[in-house]
Amino acid sequence: MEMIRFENVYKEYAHNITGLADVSLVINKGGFAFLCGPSGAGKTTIMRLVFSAEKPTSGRIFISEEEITDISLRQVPYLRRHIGMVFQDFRLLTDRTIFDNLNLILLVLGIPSAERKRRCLSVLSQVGLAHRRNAYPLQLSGGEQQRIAIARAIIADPLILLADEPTGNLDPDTSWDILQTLRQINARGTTVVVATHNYGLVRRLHAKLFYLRKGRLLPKEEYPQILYHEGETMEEEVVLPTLESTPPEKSILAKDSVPKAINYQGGFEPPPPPPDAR
Amino acid sequence: MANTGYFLKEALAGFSRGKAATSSAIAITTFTFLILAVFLLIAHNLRLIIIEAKKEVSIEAYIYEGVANPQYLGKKILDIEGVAGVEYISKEDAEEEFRSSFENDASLLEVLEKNYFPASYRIKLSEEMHSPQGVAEVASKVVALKEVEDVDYMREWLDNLTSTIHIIQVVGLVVGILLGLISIVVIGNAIRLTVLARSERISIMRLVGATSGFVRIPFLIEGLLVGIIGGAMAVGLVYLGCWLLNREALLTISYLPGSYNLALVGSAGLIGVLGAFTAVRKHLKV
Repeated sequence: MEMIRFENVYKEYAHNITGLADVSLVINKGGFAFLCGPSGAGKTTIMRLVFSAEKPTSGRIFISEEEITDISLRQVPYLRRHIGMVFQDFRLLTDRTIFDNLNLILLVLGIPSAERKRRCLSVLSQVGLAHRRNAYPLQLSGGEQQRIAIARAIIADPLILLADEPTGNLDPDTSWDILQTLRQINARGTTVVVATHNYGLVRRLHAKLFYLRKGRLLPKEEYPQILYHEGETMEEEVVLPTLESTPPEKSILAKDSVPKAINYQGGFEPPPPPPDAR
Repeated sequence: MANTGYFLKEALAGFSRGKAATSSAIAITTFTFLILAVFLLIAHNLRLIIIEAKKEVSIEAYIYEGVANPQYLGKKILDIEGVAGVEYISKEDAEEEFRSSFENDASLLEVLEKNYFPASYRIKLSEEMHSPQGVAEVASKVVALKEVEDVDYMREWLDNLTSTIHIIQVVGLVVGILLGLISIVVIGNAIRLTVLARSERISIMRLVGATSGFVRIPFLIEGLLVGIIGGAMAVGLVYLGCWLLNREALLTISYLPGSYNLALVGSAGLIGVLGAFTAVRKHLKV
């Protein structure tokens, strides 16, 4: 099943600045994909188009096999409830506790109080930070804050997790931990898309790869060698077996299409050590 | 609504978190509504003075010498439409009235050898006849009676009063509308600052799929509170000012009626809500 599909998408900004030019791509349900490329190549633009913060100038976009190219401003919130987002700068509410940061998401979804509490604690223990639930974001380290941001992104059990430079502010070891956490979320069936400059991480995790330059998706033969270990070439997308593979029964744009209760299958395993020292 | 508690809590939290911005918004609302309320107070008191003055409007009908039955004339006058009451003033009463109003002016009284004053009827008019047209209409009917020699009704004074009322009404309307518009802009901007301080919060909530209504409601409640508190403080200050002026007997001022006060506080609240609505709308377009 296709989770994200771009068909000949163009995005142009004012003053003839090209955001994207003729981008077509498909990311399957349960897939894990990297968006790579220099700054300004269009990685963030792709993400913003996926969660409908922007509309394409031309072309068509499908999420979970539903077209979202021209959805109305009213429908946008319902689309976003299926998409978790993680940013380089975490974007947590610094004047709220960790618990309140997570709780807010469930309030937005209209989930009852007892279930909210259960899910907050459950998702916090999955990222290993249940004991910090009453702390404020700025009392945590960068890596911990990013874990909270990830917890927030997955608390509503989204179909897609978008991570825009999630390791941009983190040291290499913490970056690897964060990537492992994303990988585990992916293993449970959530489609994960990571935009990154960190080619070290890309080399270490064999996943589907898109390389952008000046708004264009390069053909695979032209991908820079820096993305691969010596002697390797492009890996095909790895799709891990997933725990939850039921597609949504309703339109993802329906007001009540987000599950009110989720049965998580326990917490995550601790991230494995890096496979090599490079 | 399951979220009512959250909305209220959030609005109050915004209130205490954004102390500087919120209290300046309240202060600005208080100040603009204070001006508006003082203006209304002046207009209200002028109106009361005018209503009182109009009650004094009367027609003096002088009777020919030698009319035998003044009571019969009185009845005829009372039958005229718009006449509320009549008072007979005999020649003697008229002289007495004159003497008492000039009792300190001996030279004037000395000249008064004989009673030159005619008997008259003082005619009170019903309220709908207090306009210059009404008074003139009644006066013309009275003067048409054969027993009546002449009428006198302070035509100039009445005309002046009427044009004064007209000027006050026009100026009042213009100034009131201007003050109202200014307060919308000023209060709207003050609330905009309180929202700006939390634009990051709005954008995060939008990113996680909050509907615009969900984001907006706490801000609307906050705007309502800012407006109501500011408006109530303005009304309270005006009340206090009236009370002090009356107590010190500097001026006798009538308080604004309750309906005015309610309208002031209510419109302050409404402006607060509108200000918050437009301020948030800008940040919701993400």
